[in-house]
Amino acid sequence: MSEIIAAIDEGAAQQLFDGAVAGIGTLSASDSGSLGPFTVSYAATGTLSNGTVDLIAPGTIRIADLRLDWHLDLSFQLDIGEFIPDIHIPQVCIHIPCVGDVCTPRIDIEWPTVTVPVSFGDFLKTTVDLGPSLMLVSGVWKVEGVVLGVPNLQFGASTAALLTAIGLAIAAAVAWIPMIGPLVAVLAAGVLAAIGIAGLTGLLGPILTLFIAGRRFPITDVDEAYEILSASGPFDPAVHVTVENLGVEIQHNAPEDELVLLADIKP
Amino acid sequence: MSLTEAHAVFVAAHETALNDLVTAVCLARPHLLHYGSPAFVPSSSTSATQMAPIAFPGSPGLQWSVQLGVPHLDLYDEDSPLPSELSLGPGQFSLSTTVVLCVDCVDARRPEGDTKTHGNDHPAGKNGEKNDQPRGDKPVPWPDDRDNWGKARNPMCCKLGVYGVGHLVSAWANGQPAIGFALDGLELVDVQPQDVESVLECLLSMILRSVLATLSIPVPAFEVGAFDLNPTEGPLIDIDRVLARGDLV
Repeated sequence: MSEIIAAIDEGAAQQLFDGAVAGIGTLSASDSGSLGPFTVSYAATGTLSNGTVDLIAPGTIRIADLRLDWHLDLSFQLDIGEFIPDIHIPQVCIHIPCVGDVCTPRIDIEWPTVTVPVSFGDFLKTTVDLGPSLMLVSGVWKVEGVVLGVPNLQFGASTAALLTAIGLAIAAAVAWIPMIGPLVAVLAAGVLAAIGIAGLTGLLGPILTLFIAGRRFPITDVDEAYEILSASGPFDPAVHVTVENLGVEIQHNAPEDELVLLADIKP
Repeated sequence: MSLTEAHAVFVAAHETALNDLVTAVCLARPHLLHYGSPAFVPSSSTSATQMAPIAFPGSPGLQWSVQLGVPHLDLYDEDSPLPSELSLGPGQFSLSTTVVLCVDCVDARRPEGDTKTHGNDHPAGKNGEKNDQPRGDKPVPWPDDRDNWGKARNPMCCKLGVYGVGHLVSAWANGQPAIGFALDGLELVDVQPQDVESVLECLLSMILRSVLATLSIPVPAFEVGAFDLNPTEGPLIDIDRVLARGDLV
């Protein structure tokens, strides 16, 4: 039996979790990935918030409706010629009596490759299960909840909205190109079709999963050499005990579920 | 039954943990248990607390020391046997320790025939008057003859086993809520005659009460600082443990 037992109920666990989530701050990631047929470079940020704590014995801290507000800046190279054929209109000459030959100019339009920057943000909600974790790091027992497995992220309307944003970004990126005006809609439709929903989720999934999967939410820290009393004078040095055999578990003690910390100490 | 009941946070420390905490305090700050006049405690330090000699007419001051052992606490119910005179009730703790009482017995090395310099510490005559100096003479104090290092030349000590019962009281330590210890009763064993035992018990009760007043354990220590508890129930003694409930700060 442990010498020390400290327990909190779900309400207090919620209070701790809210603090832990707020303490995480803004998450960020940047890399490159695939957006359908395109290789994109991206910079993503995410902020976690909300979430309802449900303690489930013997070892699960479920966070329902964990919200992730995310923002994505990406850019990719669009070779327009892959979606709209280059235009080659040969020179045509006609002979006009008394005037001579009149020729139209030869027209060759080779579509350029443009950089398309896209900036988009949205949020999603998910439910994650945390497992209690204990680690002794540099003399401090870190008590944390670690996200188990890979959360199932539901993007919902985000994907459609992001496709729209990409379409608008394409229009803006090619606006300077002469004679493309009537073809922009065709171009955008072609690109978006190439990307598709699958392409978007294929990009967003791994990026946003990074923000949640394996994430560690701090519950509390316990110094291995715990200071009972701080130094308070020349003859009163600080007093410490050594904390050992720390354990953390979820207990169902009817009618409540409680997060319980167990420890032994020695002088 | 939940641990937290109607509260958000629950903490409990078994009596072994309480003893570990008390021991840690006493080992880090042994001066809380050791007091004495300069012949025994040359100066205050982490190890001991220097106090004045006992002033007594005709002497340079009686040199003394009191040293308590680290108390062992037993929280209700009773696991450590107590003398029959004491009983451990619900909500109480018992403690057992030793106390070493010492005096520097200057008289024991008084040179034979040297009566002038040793003041009042002389047998009385038949009528109660001192028989080694003329009536009306002012006693001449004996010299302060501690050794060259200022220590007692002839310490005489006795070691007594002490048992007591008490209850927890609310206190503050380091700006945090804490528990303190209040003494309800004390018993010495095997001291005769009874009058001497009573006097010593009274003396040691006063000493122990004072010592316990300086010994308090912050409530966060009972949960090694894991959660910031604002206690609204307790700390109180449950069976073999001290517990508290409350809210997160």
